[in-house]
Amino acid sequence: MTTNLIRTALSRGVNLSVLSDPKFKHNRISINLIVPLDAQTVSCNAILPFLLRKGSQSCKDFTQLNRRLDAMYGASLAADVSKSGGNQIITLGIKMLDDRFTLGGEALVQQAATLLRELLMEPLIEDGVFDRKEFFLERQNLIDTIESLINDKRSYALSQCRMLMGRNDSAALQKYGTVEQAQKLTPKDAAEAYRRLLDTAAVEIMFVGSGDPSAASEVMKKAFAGMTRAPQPFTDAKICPAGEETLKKVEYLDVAQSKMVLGFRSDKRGNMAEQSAMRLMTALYGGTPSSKLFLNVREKLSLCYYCAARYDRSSAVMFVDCGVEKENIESAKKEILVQLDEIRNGNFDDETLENTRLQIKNSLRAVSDYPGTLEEWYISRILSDEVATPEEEMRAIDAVTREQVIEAAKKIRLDAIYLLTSKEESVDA
Amino acid sequence: MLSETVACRRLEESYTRIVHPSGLTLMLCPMEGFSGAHALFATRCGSIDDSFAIGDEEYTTVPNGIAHFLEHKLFESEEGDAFEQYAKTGASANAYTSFDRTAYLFGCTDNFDQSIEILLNLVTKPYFTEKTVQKEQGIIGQEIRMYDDDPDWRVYFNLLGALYHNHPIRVDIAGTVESISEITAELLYRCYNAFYNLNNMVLSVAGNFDIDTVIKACDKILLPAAPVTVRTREVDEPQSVRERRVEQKLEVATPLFQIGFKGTPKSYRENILAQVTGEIVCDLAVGESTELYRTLYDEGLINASFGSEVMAGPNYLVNIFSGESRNPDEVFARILKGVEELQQNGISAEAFERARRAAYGRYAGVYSSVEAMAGMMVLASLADFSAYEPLELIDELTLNDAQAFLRENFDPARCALSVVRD
Repeated sequence: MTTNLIRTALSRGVNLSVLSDPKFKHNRISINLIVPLDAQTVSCNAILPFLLRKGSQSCKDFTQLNRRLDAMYGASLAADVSKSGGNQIITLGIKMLDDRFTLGGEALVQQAATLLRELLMEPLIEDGVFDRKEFFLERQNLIDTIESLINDKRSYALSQCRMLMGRNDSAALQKYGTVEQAQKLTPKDAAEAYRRLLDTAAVEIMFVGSGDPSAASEVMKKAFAGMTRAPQPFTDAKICPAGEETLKKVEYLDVAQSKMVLGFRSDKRGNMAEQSAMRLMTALYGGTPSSKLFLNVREKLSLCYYCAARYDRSSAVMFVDCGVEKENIESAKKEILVQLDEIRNGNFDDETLENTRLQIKNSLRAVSDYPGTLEEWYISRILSDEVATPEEEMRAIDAVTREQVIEAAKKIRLDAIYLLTSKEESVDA
Repeated sequence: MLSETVACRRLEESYTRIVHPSGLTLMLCPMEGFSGAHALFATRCGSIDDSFAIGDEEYTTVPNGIAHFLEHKLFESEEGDAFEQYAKTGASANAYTSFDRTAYLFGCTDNFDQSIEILLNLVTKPYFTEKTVQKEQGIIGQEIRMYDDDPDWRVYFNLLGALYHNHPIRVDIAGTVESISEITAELLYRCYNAFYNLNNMVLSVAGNFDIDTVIKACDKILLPAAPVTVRTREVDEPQSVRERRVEQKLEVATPLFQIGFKGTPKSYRENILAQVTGEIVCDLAVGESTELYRTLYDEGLINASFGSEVMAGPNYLVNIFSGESRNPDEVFARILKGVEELQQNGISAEAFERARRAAYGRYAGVYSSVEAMAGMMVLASLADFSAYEPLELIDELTLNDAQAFLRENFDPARCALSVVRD
């Protein structure tokens, strides 16, 4: 079933996108504030959602705020930071039961939108600073969050490889910034960053769910009416070709299994047809259980439990990552590169290609079944100014030829190898 | 063919439960408006089933991790890999093994009729050779090593190891590199024959599909099976906990902790349904709306990663609080004190109503996700309740029920702290 996006401008630089489908039982309203990723401001912006979610002038107490959410049938408030292309996104969102299913006919859409407006527009800033106690608590939490990225070794390795390939492109920055920067923040910095954010961010409000969005639309329209703002345009990631020399970094930690990430680059983002060819090629290479990497590195050579490829459209970057025994690192790397050459040389049969195409189309068709996936789909496309529906992308996937897949594989080149491995010397090294 | 409609008045929704002539239970919920269908073929065989007997036979003790190994191996048949067959339909297939069950699944938006046949074939036609078993030892070995480095996984299993003396939930689901090296094709067949009898299994489908398609596929592929009785070992588990505190060193930033209260298990059905009550009680004890949460947070003892869950199955029920903290021992002490105070003073009626209402809102979401609905129906069939029962239970839950759960399942003498730190 098709869920069409209806996007309307509420005021300058403030848009509301509605994705409505009666099959859902909940609605989610999110306010996304979008600014360019910038090494100077990334941490300062990153602390804001965690300060904003703590309360507002009309609900100063965090415990009372949570009780209010409980009373709204367990509405959940989410505040976080993400990035897409060269943009940093600060999000405040509430997911709540649709009015149709409340026991007493409560107007939850209205209530949730009002609460979001309060949290965003009436923060706990007094005399130009955030509450000191709250601020220092959240600053420590932000530092802890940045440091705890290391807990998940797979995603840590991926982000390290992305940074290694950075070459001063702000799109390679971590979404929360750095510990060094976070440590320098003051309550005044945060209050200033807040005002700058309200003044300069492009605002994308999303309403995804089964309910009537008009109450939310009214609340949001009023919230931004009368504000003089100077919203900035969205920022693309820089596209640069792979360097002559492959970048390399090895990090030693006390781990049982080594993690290897290979980063590849294409020298252009390409039009929709080229992007679809890259998507199909990546899936054929390492995106499905019938892909080259799964069948060879995992099933045939039994070297890895996971060995997968993914493509980041916004930066035209592909990653292959795997978890592997230290003594098998070289064999895994060799096989990963051999399999890419296989695609470049056209050594894949038409049936596998068609099957891969089918799998991608299946996942595209399922996008509309999950509110979260739908929201993610459209936000990233709005930011790259290429608002295609999943159906349009399916047609583009259908149009990709065998030659275009081979071309796509030839376009990407190895740029970086990141390795996370154990401290002690390997026996077989 | 026995067929019944199970309905939920509140949501005005229903599903169909059928006992197919082969013995297999079918739980079928077509859902309007969805593009995809999600199918699960499951059996009550999990990592805890490490010793069993068929009929009057002697007990067989099998190596740890065999249920999970079997799950991996069923994807292979004489004609090749099931993933290759699914690839032709475009479905995305997977499987998982937990403490108490194994499930084989796929999700698709197209070619449902072919994918359901693949699923039925893969689960009902085992094929293992010593060679394919050997290959899998390498792959699963790497899966185990991956979990060795996963602090969330380690802190969890260390907690279960501290809470339980003998119960097999204290053992990692995938086993160890050593235990899986003892698995042979013959042992896999033994395990399969015990636990993969259609009379003890369930096929659950939710989303965009026709009931008739499923029945036709079952008629075509499934052979009627004679019921078997499988006895699993009686676990002799003392009420007490094994250790009060455990700690492991791993590469992490802030220390990770899990605090577990060993509950008093009842029947499988009662334990699974009690999870709903348990979640509400956990919320009332240290949820975001409590004074205790606020104090811990404001003092910097916990952060937003703090959360709770209730884990239940055959012969076990555990209430878990987890998060990151520079001082996990202090968090442990404070939560213990908070629980004791709540037990003494009683839960306030106002707080109970709020938590109950919040649980209702959260659970309603289960019934508008094809994945969650298919999963809920599997559990409903294996533990013998209606898939809407959790929602109805929340509707009818009283303050007394919550007080009783708090009394029975939060014993300050039967809890433990697990820490992972650098």
